[in-house]
Amino acid sequence: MDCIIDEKVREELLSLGGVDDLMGWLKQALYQRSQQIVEEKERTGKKLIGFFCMFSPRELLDAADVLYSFTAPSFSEKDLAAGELYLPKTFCPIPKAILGLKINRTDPLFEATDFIITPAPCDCKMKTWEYLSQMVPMYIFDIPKKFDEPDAGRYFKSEIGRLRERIEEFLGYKISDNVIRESVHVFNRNRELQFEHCNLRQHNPSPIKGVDSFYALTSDLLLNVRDSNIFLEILNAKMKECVNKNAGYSGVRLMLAGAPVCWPTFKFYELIEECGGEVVIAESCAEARKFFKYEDVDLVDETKADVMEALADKYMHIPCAIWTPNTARIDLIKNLAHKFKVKGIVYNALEFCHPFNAEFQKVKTALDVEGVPSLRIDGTFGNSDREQMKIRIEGFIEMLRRH
Amino acid sequence: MFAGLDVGSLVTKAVILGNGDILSYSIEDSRSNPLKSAKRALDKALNSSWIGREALSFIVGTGYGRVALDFVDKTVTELTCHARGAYFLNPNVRTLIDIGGQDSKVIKLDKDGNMSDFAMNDKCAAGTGRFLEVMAHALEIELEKLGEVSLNSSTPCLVNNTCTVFAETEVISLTASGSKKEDISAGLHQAIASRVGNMAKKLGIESEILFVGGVSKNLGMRTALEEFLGIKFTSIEQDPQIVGALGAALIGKDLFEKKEERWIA
Repeated sequence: MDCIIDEKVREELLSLGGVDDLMGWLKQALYQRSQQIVEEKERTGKKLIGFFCMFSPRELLDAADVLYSFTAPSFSEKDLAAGELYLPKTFCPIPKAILGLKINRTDPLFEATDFIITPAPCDCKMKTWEYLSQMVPMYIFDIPKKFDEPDAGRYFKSEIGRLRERIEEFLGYKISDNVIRESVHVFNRNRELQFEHCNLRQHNPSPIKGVDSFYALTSDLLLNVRDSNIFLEILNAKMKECVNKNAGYSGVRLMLAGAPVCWPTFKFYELIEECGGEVVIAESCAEARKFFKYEDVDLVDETKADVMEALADKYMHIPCAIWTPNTARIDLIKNLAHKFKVKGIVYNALEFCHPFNAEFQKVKTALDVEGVPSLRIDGTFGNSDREQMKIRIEGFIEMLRRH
Repeated sequence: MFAGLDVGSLVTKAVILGNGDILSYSIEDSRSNPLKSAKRALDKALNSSWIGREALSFIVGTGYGRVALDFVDKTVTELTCHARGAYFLNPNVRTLIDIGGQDSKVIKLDKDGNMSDFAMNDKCAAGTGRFLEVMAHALEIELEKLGEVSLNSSTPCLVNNTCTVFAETEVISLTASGSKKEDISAGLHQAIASRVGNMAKKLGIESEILFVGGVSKNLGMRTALEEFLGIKFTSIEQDPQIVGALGAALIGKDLFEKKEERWIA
């Protein structure tokens, strides 16, 4: 997959003034990205593979020399309604919007996608993929729910193995272990840079706005990971300058936790900012969950002889609410609360996202012990509940100011 | 002197505060224009204590319509205002239940009157004044009499729905099958009590407990909630519908006297 940052662009980025200018460049690059991928496909004739969920090992796609991209659901009313031609009303909007996107054929990138790899983490996704796989070729892999059982790792490795075979079968050629190792190395560099980026946000004032950090930490989902690496190196350097100057954003420090926050919906970040808060870390798939319990960067082990085992080890360790018993996720949230010195937690209870919503009470109980207040917000991806969400966030921040 | 304005979805409340006591208040219907309702409520309250608007040093707006109030000095959420008002009326209050026209909420207070936690109902009419209004209409009982009627019930009906739309259908079927109005209305109050009561239980109830908001004037609702929670509500001498507006006025006073710098963001 082509890179967009060459030496000339890199120098241009280095000459930009600060974090805001860099983010302006990134946002524009991300919005143009879908079209670029479609054009590259037309030009090169390469296959385009889509993926959902952070459990998908992108190293395999990178090593396979194909085009690959995350598919972002649009959450438009039209797509959600189309999804309901197959799915119940009382159903998670994420897979529903993706199915609707396919039915309406509205997204050129999704339409250009030849093959999709995705896990079946929860019931809603699993059942949606059964319909979607009739419309576009897919490979759906399983994730064990009791993740720390001794057999779970072995089983997951066999699933990842079948995933690789299925990709090879689709492409008609083999992916070599050595090339996968090279991809692992590049992705590990991305993990280190993302971890460094998050750690810089522990500083008060935070050197970057929560929503901008979300863009930066998802840059690897659409860009070639090598571009994401160069961008994050430059961005992190600018953030360090802010930290040294004590410059940045000093709203009430909050953690956003709970159900997935999907690209490109930024409602939570916007509302929190409007009410005088600042999201300094998100316990989400896009942000902190990439680092297991946030004790260290949690890389893919490059010293392991069996690269598939190393990949399985890493991708098994994403503390999603689908696990049971899910103590790892509670450990992660408590750890983040301390390290990022948050005053409170806003919990995204996305409608019909049962695993994450059910875990709220557990999270709240654990945080009460730590003296960190938490607020559950029941919400959708749409704008109709914006004001109701806002009153709760505003009241919560008023409360925290007096805490 | 200070004023607090609570522009709710159905009713707008205004409180005029002197050096430490309520001088006057007014309760007006909120119509389609929150700004006009607020001005009307404020003028009415000012008139009844013979005060001109120029005598007010600070005005705080709260409630759903607060964003429309262009003439106030500050807006604060109704959550914080209710906590402040309740603490003023009785510093021993630790749990506050408020049922208004459009939402219901439970607020926990610490010993200094600071809000320490809260919960609000889902974003629909279930468990609110609007629910009771629709049901009173379905039963052809005046809203003000609904609570009283429910107290005459010896065998309350089981109402399964708290969704306003579904419950209305259920009420119609119950009426058709010959259930008595008092039994249906008692069942309706119990349905709300279990919904709001569960919200309070989840948050953790601590004495003393105060029940405020327009719906707290409904004796049937008070009784149903007390029975569901197995508690007795603390009584206050003030009108329970003006606690939010009172809190807003008190916060205005705190701010004006700079007692509370933390309010200023």
